[in-house]
Amino acid sequence: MNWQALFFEFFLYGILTYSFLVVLFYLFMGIFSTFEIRKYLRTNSFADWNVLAASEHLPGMSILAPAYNESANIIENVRSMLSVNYYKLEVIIINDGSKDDSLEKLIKEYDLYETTVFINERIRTKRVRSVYKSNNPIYSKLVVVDKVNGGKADALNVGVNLAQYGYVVSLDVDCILEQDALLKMIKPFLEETKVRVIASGGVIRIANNCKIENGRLIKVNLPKKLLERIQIVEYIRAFLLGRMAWSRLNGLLLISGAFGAFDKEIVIKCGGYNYKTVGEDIELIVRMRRYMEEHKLPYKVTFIPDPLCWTEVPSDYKVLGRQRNRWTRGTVETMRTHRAMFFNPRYGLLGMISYPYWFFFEFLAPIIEFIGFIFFFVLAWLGLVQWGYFLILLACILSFGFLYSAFAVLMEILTYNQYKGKNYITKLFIAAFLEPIVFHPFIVWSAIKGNLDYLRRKNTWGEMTRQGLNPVQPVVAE
Amino acid sequence: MKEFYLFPVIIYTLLILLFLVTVLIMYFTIHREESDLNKIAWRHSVGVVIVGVVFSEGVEEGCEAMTYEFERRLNKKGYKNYLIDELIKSKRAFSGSSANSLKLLYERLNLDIDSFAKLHHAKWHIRAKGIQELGIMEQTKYRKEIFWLANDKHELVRNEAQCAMVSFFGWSGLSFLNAIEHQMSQWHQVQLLDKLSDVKPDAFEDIREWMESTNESVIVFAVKLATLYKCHEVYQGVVKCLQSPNSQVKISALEYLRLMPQEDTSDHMIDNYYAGDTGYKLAVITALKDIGSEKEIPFLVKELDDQDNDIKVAVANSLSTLHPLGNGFFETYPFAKTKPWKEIFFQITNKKIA
Repeated sequence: MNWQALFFEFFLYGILTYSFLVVLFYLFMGIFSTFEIRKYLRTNSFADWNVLAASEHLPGMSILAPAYNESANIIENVRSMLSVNYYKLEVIIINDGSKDDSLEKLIKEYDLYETTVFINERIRTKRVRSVYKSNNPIYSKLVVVDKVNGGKADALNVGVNLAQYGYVVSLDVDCILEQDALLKMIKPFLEETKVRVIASGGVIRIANNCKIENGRLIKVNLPKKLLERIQIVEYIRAFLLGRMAWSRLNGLLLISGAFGAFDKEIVIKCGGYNYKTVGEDIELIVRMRRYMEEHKLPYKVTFIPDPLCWTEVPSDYKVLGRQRNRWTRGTVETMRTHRAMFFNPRYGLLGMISYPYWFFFEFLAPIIEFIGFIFFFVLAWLGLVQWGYFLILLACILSFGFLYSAFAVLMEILTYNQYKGKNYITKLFIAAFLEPIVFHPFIVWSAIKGNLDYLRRKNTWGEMTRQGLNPVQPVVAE
Repeated sequence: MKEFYLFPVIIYTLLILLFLVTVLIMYFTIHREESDLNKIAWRHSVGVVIVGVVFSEGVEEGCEAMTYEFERRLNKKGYKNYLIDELIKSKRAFSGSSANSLKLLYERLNLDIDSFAKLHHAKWHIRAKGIQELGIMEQTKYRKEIFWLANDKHELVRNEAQCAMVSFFGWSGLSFLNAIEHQMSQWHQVQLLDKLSDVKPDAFEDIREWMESTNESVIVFAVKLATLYKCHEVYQGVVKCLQSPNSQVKISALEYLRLMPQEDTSDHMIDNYYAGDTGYKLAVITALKDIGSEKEIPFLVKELDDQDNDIKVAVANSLSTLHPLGNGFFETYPFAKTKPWKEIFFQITNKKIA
């Protein structure tokens, strides 16, 4: 056997083995998540949220919401945050050097005055220009910070420095929270008696085309565009199946930057959010876990499957591509920063399973998929493998993608069943069928571009144009 | 390539699985829709009975609203469970005679037998559900069975059993604290404290005993109870808790002492100050602002030099209240013009008076 043949065989079997491992991991995740969700649903049906909403005995929580050029919806969004059911709550809006009139609008609407606050800069940040509080006691929970632009991570660090309570919740300012979202988020932190819960993530659901009134989600609708529907399937798959499974294993590496709760003390000890990366959410969790492992402190990162937070997703390929490009760069940066943990037994499950999983099946997956497809296509074209072989292999991959998405739809029906409109499930099923054909290749391509941009040292966030959630304005009686 | 012959097998397997998932999706979609429709119909009939019972003079009058359809449906397990759930929700929402009428209705329909049967179920969550139902509906006749479950190996079962004991007997229901072997989570403590908020305590002697428990979570809970009921009798025991190595015990003791201080409270707090972490130190300084006197000023001035800026801010806040010069003290401080004291003092001096 000459070296070309050896290389060919090695590559061929390498890709087949990799595909087999991917499928195996997904199967495990499907099984683990099913058990974890079932356990969660059984355990959480007992709490009386109405009583707890007014409880003085629960610890305080600080919502940190960075805002950059959010003038269009900021008043409604802040109102939504202030209306969340939680007794000891503080809402910190960090105006990250917006160029629009966000701050002026906030000052006017919420009757803000400039106050002098000493900020204990335990995490270094860009300069804070001023801190505002409201003259109106109704808005006593609101704090608005105006600072020099430094990016999302820097803005969140200002919030951490300023937060008066021990638990901080990072929240994208355009997200809509369910009324009992914080009560459900604090629960895992207080339930554990043996280990310290350092962070807890929540499910992000898609609000495109949903009915929103006074900053509250009134009715769940399915988006009109196929691209948005496919993202619904993708989110259910990622959150209900993926993260729940990792939560069961206590191996979760990512809590979405859009909505997550953290133990402030550990965040500060770890140095806060890393402003040098565009994936500040995954990087923080990895660093917090690494800190706990290195200090041999028992800990846990939990995840809640309840639909607690609703957000708008990109409705066109251009914006979606930018988002996925950024996510890829964030993953690569985090993997690189924490490469010391790779198969390092000192970090336990984190080093031996979670990190390698992310490396092989999140970071490398699109690259291998892309190269594998090109490789087999060229081989088939050159006649080195039969077209039948190539097509059957492709069919296997597509069928598995469809099966996994369909399973996610089934899990949605069995658990939260949010999509009850006429033909909604049929439409989601069709979206699940089309996902591996029309959506997944684009995601792979965006990830490839993300990797290339990372190599070119591109470090921009990328403009995220949004359509807006079209809140239904309340009718004012004359 | 041998694998080529394997692929059709894989494809067929995937297709069979897909077919199965599709069938399950169809089945559960239809099932859920039917279930939703059923619930709409049930909601009406159950609502009529509950409203009848709540707003009439007695259960008998209220029960006149029961239709033949209602009684026929009671034979269905699903309907019965739905009815129990609705009664539980209503019982939580009402108090006084309305709540009592709902309890009587629950008993008249023998729903307690169904709830009790759940106690012997193999699945823990069903056992816990049964306990919760009996607890909320104050079915004290099952107290013995429920009491034994207060130390169950499954957390949710024992939590519900403990809540049920408090629902039955109020303060006396806390007797499970003498025997529990497992740690009580903070979440469960919050739930119990909320339940106890309108319960009158019987004997503070119990709190003293619980504060001696070998179970640290019981000590924390006992101190919280003493704080909730403003129980001065256990002061000495709480002071002892300041020496505990457990930070939760210390923090809950501080909260008690802040709200119910005696002459020597500040001294005890300061004596144990350096044994605590930053959180504890901050809590002590904040408490001194409320309960301290000029006697604590030398200690506070010394702590103004602490390396932690949060402690400096808290100390400056306390000094602005306790020092006879008030904010004027800041001008006398040697480092008042240097960082970070300058900014800290500026903040406190300029704090808007609400």
